[in-house]
Amino acid sequence: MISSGLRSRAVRIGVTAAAVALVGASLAGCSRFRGDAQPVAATTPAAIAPTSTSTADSSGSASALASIQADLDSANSSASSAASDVAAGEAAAATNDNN
Amino acid sequence: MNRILTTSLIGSAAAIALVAGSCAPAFADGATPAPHGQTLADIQKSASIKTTQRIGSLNTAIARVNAAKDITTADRATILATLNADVAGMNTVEAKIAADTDVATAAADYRTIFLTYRVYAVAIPQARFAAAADRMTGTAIPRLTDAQTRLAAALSGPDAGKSTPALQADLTDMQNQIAAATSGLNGVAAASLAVTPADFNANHSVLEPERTSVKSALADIRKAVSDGKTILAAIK
Repeated sequence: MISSGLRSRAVRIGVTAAAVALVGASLAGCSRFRGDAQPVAATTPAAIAPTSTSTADSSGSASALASIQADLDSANSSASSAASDVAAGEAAAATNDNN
Repeated sequence: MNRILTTSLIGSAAAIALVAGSCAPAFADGATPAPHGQTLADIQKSASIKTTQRIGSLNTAIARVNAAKDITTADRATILATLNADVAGMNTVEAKIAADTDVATAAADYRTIFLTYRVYAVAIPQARFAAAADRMTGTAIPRLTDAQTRLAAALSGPDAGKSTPALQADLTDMQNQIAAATSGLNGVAAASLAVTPADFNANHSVLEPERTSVKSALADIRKAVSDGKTILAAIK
């Protein structure tokens, strides 16, 4: 015969083990959820940087080189616009009309 | 006796005329603008021409600022506030002069077209210099920085076999030119937009530091673009 005290202890051990198992399973589920979420988040940087002409590819591939070329062209175009602004400002300042 | 007195008076008048004539160049430099004519009608006609010219120039500048995509929101607001205020000011002073009934008042109002607004000496140049600084800071420099970073990665990675001391020197120079432009443009737009007509009236070279800084940064950026193109051509 098993004493009632021994039975009670066995029940408590069983309940504790079950609780630990439940918590462990829950944590495992959370980790897996976070892991699943990462690829979705990884797609957003390009969307939040619409002005960038960068690509993730930093190798010498054709697409990477084309992207560098686009950056240089954009910088050159911006410099040309800036030069036009400077010339217009200088022309106005040089106006011999009592300013 | 009378002839001597008359001759003396004529001589004095001639001397006064010469002194007055010697002051004419001072008027031409913009410090004391005066209408060509002396009658009220002449002043009013000249005022109409001058204000119309300035309104046209201001509207051209306003359209340019509105079309520019890379001027900061704050600078755009400051520039447009100044340019639009000057348009309103030109309309107001032109109407005031048209309604003036005496030469002295009209002449005094006429001078405000220049001294109060300085459309050509301050408003338009400061707007253009600030816009140029913003374009370079907001677009050219970030794009060049991006290109330089990826060119460096290419030369140290997949295209290392194509790297030469000359290309590495170009890469370093590109980085230095970007740094120089970035440093040179720091605070330039704000300093340019802070200049007032009163500042110009006190110092006609007041916008010169901003003009020099913007032109220097422009040269730096053009050199950085050239460096980048050289490197890119070598690794293609």
